[in-house]
Amino acid sequence: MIDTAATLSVKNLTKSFVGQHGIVHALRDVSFEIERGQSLSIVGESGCGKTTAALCIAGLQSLDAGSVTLSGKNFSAASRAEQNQLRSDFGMVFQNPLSALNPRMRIWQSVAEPLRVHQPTLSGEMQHQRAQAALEQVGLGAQHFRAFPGELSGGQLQRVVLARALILNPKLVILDEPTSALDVSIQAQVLNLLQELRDTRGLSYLFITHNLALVEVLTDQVVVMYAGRVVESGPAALVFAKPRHPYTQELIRTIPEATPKNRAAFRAINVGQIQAAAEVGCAYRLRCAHAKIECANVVPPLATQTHAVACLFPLS
Amino acid sequence: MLGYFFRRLAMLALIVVGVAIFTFVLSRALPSSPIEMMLGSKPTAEQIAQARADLGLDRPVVIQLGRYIVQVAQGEFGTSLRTGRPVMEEVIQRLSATAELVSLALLLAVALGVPLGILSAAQRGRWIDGLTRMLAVSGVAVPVFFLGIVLQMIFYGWLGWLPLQGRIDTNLIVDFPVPAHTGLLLIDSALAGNTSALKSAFSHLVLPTLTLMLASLATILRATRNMMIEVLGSDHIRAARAYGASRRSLYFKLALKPTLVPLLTIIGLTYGFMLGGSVITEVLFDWPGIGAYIVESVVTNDYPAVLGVTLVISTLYLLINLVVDMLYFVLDPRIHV
Repeated sequence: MIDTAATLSVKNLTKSFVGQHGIVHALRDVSFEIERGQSLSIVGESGCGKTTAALCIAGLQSLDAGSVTLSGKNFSAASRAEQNQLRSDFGMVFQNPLSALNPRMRIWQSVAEPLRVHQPTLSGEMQHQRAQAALEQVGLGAQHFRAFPGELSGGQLQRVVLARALILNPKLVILDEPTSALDVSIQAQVLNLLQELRDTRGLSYLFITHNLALVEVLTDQVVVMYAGRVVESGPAALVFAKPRHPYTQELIRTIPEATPKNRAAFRAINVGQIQAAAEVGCAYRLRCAHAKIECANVVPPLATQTHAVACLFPLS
Repeated sequence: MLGYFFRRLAMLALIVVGVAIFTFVLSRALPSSPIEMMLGSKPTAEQIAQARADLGLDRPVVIQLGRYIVQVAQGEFGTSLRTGRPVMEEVIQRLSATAELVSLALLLAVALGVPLGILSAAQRGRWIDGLTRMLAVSGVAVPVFFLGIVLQMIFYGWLGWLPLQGRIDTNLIVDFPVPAHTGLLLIDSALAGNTSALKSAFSHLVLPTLTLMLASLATILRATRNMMIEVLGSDHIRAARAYGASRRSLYFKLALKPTLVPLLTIIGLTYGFMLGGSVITEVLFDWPGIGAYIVESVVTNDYPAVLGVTLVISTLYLLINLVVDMLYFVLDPRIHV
């Protein structure tokens, strides 16, 4: 039987925190799906909830409501022990590779750790071999296997983290800002590696990023988030070519060249104001150049036109 | 690593010599003289001169110092002016009583403090964390003498469960003497198969151990908790959770290991500190230990004893530190020499 279930299905994810400005709704009813072999990016500015989304999906943060389904298996409703079992279905890569590795473990030991957890009967010899193979696959040579994390460069470390995420042969890899801690030349290397791995192993990626170059090169779908809501989602090519939501348009215009002039387009607004605005209407209306009176009274539903967009007056 | 060990050992010997010189000069610089204590209230001039000659105090200080160092190097600390017995013998006897008390207190503080610290870190912000915080704050804030008196009042005065003072029931030890092998009564009486002595020694240990332990327990508990929380919040622990590491392996393997290194330093320092700092507890419980011995020696100007004790305790302190530093090699694979 061919498994037709989506690699990842996220439904109505909702999460709020008690913060300085009162309750912050980090996620409001976020839903999306990643089909088999496809990749998806969540983009949006800092504080829009995209990292919370990643943590909730990975079960590192509890959900207020909603569900996460991994290849047809309900991950979010599973017990802690069952969840730990299911964790072999996806790998995870964090923003800062140096701090994501245990400083007391040698590189190969860190990479072998998921094996020790999920295949405890595997001999030490086999673990070592598998770790070596995984490290070679991401382009690291034997001279690095016995090093400690502090002895490697940022690009090498991100490769190590990737090797660890891939050692259990998952179908999905969740990458939270995988390139933002790296300098530009290293970013390119890592992107090439990610592309190569996707093509050779048929991986699905879930990127949490604001690196739009990465989104364009590596992902099929894109989800744009603002103030905890999905404001636009659809095929990456389409969303980039014809953004329908004013926020998406501004995001595309601004991010590649974050000069002070362009940054001024985004008015400085604090989280509390945005959160308050999100309660009754469109959260983006405080900044939106096209905002009308109605925007303050109705929370725009995510409606599908050429692709899904949550705006009362979408751009054409 | 062996080379490092021997370098450290050589340094340790130098420091001990330094301590010997320093304490010796200090003892000579002090205005009070042991002569008065030895000879009573109205000695004659001849008696004083004789005593000074006996003690070598009529020679130049440098010569005295030289002779002292040579003596110490031979393990000879002179005789106590107060009791007339060899200082070394007395110090060892007293120290074994203190070591028994302090080691037990530290063992208990670690055995309770570390697990409670881990528990509070795991249950951060919940009621158990609040409870251990209260315990820790009161452990540091309550003065030792007060705690000791309260414990005595409750367990001796009201309940009558435990003895008030001393190290063992004296009648019992006269009737059934316990041969000294280690100087630790618990071990010696167990070796001798003398259960009544063992029971007595144990019941005498309970209150002073509790009194001495509480402050260290508080320190170790809070240190463990805070360092655990710091490590648990780090990215590599989150990464371990993401690949499915069990809770037990998170807390006891991945998070505890980095916590142990600084904790070991604290434990080592606490041990050294307790060895010399158990004075109040010892006086309160009439414990025949080194702390009480120091006080008696100081107030009677028994300078060979004071010098001897100072040297022994500082040497012990340094040795403990050396052991702690060597243990780092075991706990942190990144450290090479």
